Amino acid sequence: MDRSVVFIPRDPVLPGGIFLNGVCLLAICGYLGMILHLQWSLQEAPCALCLLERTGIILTGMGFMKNLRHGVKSAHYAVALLGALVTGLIALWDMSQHVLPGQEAQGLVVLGLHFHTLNALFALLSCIAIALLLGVKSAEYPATLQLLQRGESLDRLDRRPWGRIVLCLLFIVVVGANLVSLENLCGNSGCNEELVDELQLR
Amino acid sequence: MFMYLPFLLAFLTVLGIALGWRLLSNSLWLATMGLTLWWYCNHLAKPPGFSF
Repeated sequence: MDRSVVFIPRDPVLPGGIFLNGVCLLAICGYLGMILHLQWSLQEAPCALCLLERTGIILTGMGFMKNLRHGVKSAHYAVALLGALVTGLIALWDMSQHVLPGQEAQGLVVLGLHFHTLNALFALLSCIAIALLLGVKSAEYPATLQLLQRGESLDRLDRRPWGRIVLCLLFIVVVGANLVSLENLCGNSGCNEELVDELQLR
Repeated sequence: MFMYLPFLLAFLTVLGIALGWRLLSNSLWLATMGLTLWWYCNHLAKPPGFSF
């Protein structure tokens, strides 16, 4: 019995799931890029919770990047889902801080929404997208198995996936830019949390 | 608390994913997640209205 057919079919052959994961990673890169652009152009100091939300967004993107790099797997969607849940948790806590009496929402307003609201919406949309992508994965599985059984995937595996490589590099650049921008913001002052809060209060 | 530490860990994680180092990238992802949640728990301990 050819056991390779039994154990390999979780590797992606049909590009539908890969393409949609690429779109999701591109959207995350765009969102992180927009935040960075606004921070640099308006010299806006991010709050501590905003930075945590940004880390959650990056954690979400890591799941999609794992799908592009190692193939579509449920475990990678779990990584993205955990990142989205952490983002939503922190964003909702941030929102709850600003609805207290005597508190005013601070920071930039984009499309009439503050960033913590946008981040909460981002987390919700991410959860919906991951649920849909898991559905796509389940639908692709039998087709993948059929392709492997017919042996039609051998010539496809030799091609270098430039689209995936470019998207992964773009995500690495965006994450690196976040790191550099934070170090530039804090300078030689030790990057402590109280300093950023103080900068935001000015 | 160095604020750039989660971003540094995240950057190393995405590099590990890109290079195909699964064990390292998974460990770093776990560390980033743990650090983020730990930092968030510190915010939960502050009085309401002082954490933003």
